[in-house]
Amino acid sequence: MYVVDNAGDDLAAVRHINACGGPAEHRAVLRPTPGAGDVLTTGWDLLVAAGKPPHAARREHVTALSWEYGQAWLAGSGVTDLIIDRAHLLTRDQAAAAAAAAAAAKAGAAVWLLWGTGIDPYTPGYDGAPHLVAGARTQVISLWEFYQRLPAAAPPLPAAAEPGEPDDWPPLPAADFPTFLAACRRYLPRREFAQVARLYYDTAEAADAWLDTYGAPRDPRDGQLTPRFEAATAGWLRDSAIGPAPCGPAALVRLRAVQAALFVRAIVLSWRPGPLGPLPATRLPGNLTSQVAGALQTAVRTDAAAATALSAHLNQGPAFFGLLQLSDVAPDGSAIRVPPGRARPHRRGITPGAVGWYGQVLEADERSWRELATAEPILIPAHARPLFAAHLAYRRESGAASTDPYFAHPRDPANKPATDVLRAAIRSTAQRIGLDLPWLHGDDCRYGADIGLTWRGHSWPGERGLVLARTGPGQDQTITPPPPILPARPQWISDGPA
Amino acid sequence: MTGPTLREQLRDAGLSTWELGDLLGIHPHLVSDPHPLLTGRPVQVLIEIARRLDIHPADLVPELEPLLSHRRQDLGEDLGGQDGRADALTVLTALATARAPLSADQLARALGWQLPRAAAAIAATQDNPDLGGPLALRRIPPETWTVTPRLDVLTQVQRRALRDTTGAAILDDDQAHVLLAALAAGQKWQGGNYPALRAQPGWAAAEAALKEAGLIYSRSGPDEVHVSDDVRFSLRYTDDDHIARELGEPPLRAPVVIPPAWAGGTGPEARE
Repeated sequence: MYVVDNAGDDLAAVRHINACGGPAEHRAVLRPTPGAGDVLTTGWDLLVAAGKPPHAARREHVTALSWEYGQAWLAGSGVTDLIIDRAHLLTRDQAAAAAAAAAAAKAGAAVWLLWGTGIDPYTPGYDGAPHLVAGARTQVISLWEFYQRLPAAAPPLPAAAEPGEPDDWPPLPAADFPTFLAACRRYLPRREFAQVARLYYDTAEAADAWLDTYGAPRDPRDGQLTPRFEAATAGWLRDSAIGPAPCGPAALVRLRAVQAALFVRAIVLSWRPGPLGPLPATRLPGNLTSQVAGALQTAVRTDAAAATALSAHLNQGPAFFGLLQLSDVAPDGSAIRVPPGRARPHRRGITPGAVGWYGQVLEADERSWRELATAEPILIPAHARPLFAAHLAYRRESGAASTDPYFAHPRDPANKPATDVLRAAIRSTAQRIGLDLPWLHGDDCRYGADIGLTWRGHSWPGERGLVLARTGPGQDQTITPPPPILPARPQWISDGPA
Repeated sequence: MTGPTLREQLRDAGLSTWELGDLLGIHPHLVSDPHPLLTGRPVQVLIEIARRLDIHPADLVPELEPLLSHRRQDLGEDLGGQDGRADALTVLTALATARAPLSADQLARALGWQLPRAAAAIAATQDNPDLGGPLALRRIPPETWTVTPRLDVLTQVQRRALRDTTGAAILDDDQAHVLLAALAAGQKWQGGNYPALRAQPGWAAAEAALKEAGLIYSRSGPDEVHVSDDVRFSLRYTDDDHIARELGEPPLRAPVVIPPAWAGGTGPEARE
């Protein structure tokens, strides 16, 4: 803990604090409400410091838990420096609570108290003197030293190499994957083709590498693709191959490359864009974009933010979210891994093994479960990781053990399942941030979202019109296409546009 | 509201709300309650509905009426001209809708007009070919009328290419099977048994569709098929020499490496 001598209430100090950044830069600035001497109000200030709107706690009916949630969000964002502006306004209790929150959020987190009056911070017995907060004399530094020790945040990282706006891409041909690259070569100017082809070859080679790593995708008994491979492919498309694409055209190029790479291994991944509406390629990237994650950061309830993010990422409702345990979530929120062997509840009202329409429902449930519980972890995009880390911190603060549910019923975690609460929380959160999640529509909407008129369940590939043929072509194991002759990438593509 | 309601328009278009939702790529809930709930829909949804159903946006959201009727400038068209133009457009649309060429009296009966009005509209259409946009009025002997695409916009080569185009069809399962077989065993030197595969039910139709689309071709007889250069390039079997030649560009060759088979256990990383 440092006391920064700001007796002159220097304007430059305010500017520097503003330049220090926010939770995204692992810093938070707490600005105490003037005249409020109670700890609860400072808890709301802490939530604001964590990036929440001032009214958010009241809107979500969690005003009494502002400290718990504030601390969890500081932990989720990995805040290492908590700056308290005009700290002389704090009472001893308020300052102690803020310091405790910072310490609990991250071990070794620094608290910077900007002491903005002429009152000597060493005055013994003064109510709120920060050196009493720490229980020992606190180091007093000048503003200049403060600037040196805590410099302004670094500028944002340069944009990704892949163009992220649809306008950055040329119009792409509608040809299916067997002739897509040739159509691009034939109908695009050389410079624009080079841009497409670089991404195409890079993605195809990444697909080759993934397939080599995965091993055998087919069941040797009947030649069908295994359900495990189907789930792993869905996860890989979602987390690595197509989902992270910054825009529709980039996702389309990636998809065509993946289709081509799979096809030469006798695996047919079809894309049926017809029912996806105008500009179907824009439906291909993942739903948990940085904009959505940013909007979710404004939620106070960590369970609502994390569950909505997970639902948007997986394109499925919270039916199985209650089975997640704390140990399944990486401490930094980067990955979630549910062991495939974990027991799951079955749909009520349908006998296991049912056929016909009910069989389709069970199969769709099974597919959703496999996409959640796979051997490969679910990778969370970097911009959404604080959401999951914050809820993990909140649950740990609440005293939950590693084997306890990650999502718990807020009032009766021991006896009541969290599913219904989560569904309501996701719906209200999604509505608030203007996100329409078709897979959360009610029972009157059992035909799903906008694809087809038959019930189809919810899955990441299904929402995008992607179908992996488990049977049919490729099942005939006597037909094995030769591997591509590599590298077929024209030299001028690697060298850059001519 | 002056125009037809959304429900009427949907009925005329022969669409259910579910199908409209599918066509527009929006959730059917967004079009299920025509009025007044459409007022709260996103602008893009309103635009797409108006576009797809040829409906005026103010008929979807009456509050838009004063906004849309506010024009930036007065175009100064006389009413008579507007009426003539409207009749001509009606005739063109009716002819495009009809399944067969119509005579003037058939048109008049269908549209509920007097014959002179229908004849005048046909004459106005003939006199103003720009009214039809990409379509033009055609007389079918002896005295019936229809519309067909204009002939003065596209070149002959473009028209021929369009006639030959089979569309950007998506590979179905049977076609994928045939294409895989063509890649793996299409020629005798590959050691496969393509003639036996051809005997499978449904094979001939899928093979014919692939040949029509130009993805495969036969040179020496039906028992051997070759995969087109475009497919081989897109699947990374060859480079782009053939397209470069076609486009008259000098190709820059890349060194070609034949990797070990998949079963060999080494993957693409081996060539990096």
